[in-house]
Amino acid sequence: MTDTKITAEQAKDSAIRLINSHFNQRPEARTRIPATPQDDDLLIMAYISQSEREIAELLGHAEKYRQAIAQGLLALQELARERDAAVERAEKAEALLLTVRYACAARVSEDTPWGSGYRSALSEISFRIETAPAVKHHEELRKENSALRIRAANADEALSRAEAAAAEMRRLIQSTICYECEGAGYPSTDAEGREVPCTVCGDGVEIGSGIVPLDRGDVESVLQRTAGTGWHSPEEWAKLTAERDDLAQWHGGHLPTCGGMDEIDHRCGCGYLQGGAYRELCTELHEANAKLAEVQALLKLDSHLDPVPRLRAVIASRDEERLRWEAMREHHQREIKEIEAALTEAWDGDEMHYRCTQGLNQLHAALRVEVADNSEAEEQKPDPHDREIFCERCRQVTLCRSIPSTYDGTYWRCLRCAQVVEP
Amino acid sequence: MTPRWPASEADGVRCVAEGRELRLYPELAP
Repeated sequence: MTDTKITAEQAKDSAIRLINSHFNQRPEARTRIPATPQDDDLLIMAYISQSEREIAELLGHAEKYRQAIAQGLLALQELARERDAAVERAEKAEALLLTVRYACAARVSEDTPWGSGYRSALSEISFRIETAPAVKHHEELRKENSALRIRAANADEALSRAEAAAAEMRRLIQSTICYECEGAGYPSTDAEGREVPCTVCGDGVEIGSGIVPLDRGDVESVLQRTAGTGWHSPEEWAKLTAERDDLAQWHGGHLPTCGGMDEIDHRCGCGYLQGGAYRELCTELHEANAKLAEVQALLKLDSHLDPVPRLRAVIASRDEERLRWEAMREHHQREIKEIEAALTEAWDGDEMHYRCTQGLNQLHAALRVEVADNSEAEEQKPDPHDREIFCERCRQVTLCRSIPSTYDGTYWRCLRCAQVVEP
Repeated sequence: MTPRWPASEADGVRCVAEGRELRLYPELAP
């Protein structure tokens, strides 16, 4: 183990990191947070300072709400005072009218000639009193005033209840665990900062640690006491209730892996004391839910990017293309067949032509021989293109004619049998 | 008996500040 000399501030920072790693269940955390000062002084101090910061935040919050309630109450009282003044004015007006009426009534009772005049005046005054706006206003004001008084009283009561709850909360926050009676009581400090011994055993004062021994019952009772007092805003109220319900799913308020309370230290390893571990868990759960919702929303948004329909469309277009190509190929094959048929036909025609030519040539040859035979005497002029060559078919030397060909030069053909001969 | 940490003496850092000591893994030490 290496020794390092560090400042007190650095040591406190390190201890706070260690505490946080413990509550976040990191691998480099300690197995448990030591409870007694003998165990680890520095760690306890860091834990206390951390707790004190949280407590100060809570107290500031409570103070803010208390001030808001007090201001509201003052405004209500001011309003009630104004109404009171208005009622007083109206009462004076009514009293004046009544005086006049009584005076008239006194005169009416006298049996005098002008009694009837007074009587009519009296009835008129009575009517005026009943219909006077001041009187009507007076009635309304009286009603409003009583409602206001009730509201002010309610607000007063709410404020006192809120203050009592705040005091209870503060007491819970500032109290510590009694080590003597194993956590049954809470030693605490009073308003002047004096140490108050344990409520159960009267001993075990461990002031200043600031550790809040809130268990589920405490949370619930505080919530019940502060319900509707303005101590919590509706959002906060919903959050607290949800958190309480979240906590309720764990056995006895402890994590499933936690072994429970340490009987000596009155602590447990799961951060049960301040609900830190649960809060981490609940936050994680909420974050995970939010992320899940986000992902689901994204998935919903991306449904139009689903690859299956796109692939289907591509496959359909490919199919179409394939069909087109196949039709084209069939068309080409048909064309090829037609051309081949035409070619075959042409070839056949060629053959026929050749045979005809041959027959014709044979005819010509026969004719020429006849002609030659007939005009032997007359014309002995041999054709310059003719020559006597041995014909293999005729088996004799016959007259052959040279025929110019476009393709393979001049060739010789027997004039008798039309056989091609080699000169 | 309170279990001490780190379990192995070899891989810890003992930070000493004004006479108090804190035993930590290196990643938690300053």
